[in-house]
Amino acid sequence: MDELEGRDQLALALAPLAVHFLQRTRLEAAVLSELIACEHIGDPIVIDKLEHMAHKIHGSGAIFGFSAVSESAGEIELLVACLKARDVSQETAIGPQMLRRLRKCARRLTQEVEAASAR
Amino acid sequence: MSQTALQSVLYVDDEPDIREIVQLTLSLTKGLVVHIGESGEQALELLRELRPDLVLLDVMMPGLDGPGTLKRMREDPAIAQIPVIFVTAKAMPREVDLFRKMGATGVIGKPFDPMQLTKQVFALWNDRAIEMPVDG
Repeated sequence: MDELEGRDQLALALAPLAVHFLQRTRLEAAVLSELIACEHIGDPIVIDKLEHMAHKIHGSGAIFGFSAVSESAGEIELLVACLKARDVSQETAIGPQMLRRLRKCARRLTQEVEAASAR
Repeated sequence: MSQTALQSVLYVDDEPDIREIVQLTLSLTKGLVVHIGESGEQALELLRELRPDLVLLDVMMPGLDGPGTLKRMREDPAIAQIPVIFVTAKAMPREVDLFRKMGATGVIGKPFDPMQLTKQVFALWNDRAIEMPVDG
């Protein structure tokens, strides 16, 4: 098998996985939005869950070649990392500006997943 | 020293998507058997059972992470010699140096290009054979 043939074969094999990734990520983007909107967003368990989901979409999205999906999940991951680094003894609530940014990123993620699915 | 052919690999990652991609990608190489694990703890069991030629370890895994798994491998004479390649988003030169000092054969950065992955794995495998000291 020459290199070109191998690449074609791999691209064909990866295509169904990519479709499956997008289908699952649509659901996960909705869960992410719900978590960001929920009143317990400052809870460390919720923050860990957000970070894990965003990290997963960020990494897998990039490997599948969905760069805009990956980047928007990466922004959420970065914001959540800032939340984790904050001094919880000084600040129990998450500021409105941070919440707005998170919500904006979650909306962008949903849009990018929809756009990639439509292609 | 003759280079031994790479015949079996264990890939360990907690992300199911990435496990599937790696398995699919490496399995296209004729004669290469690809095993999959989902945690550091499971990797140690599979390594003892399967004795693959090479293990690819995700660095950030819940529970026993990649470096922790490598440390435990080196403490077990049965699997201590199996070369390890880390697969990680933390692949800056300083981090690569650190992983090599831990005993890793090499590092593959995440996100990786599936089209290039097999080449990267074989390049690191072949480099390892060159770097190994000659017996006697």
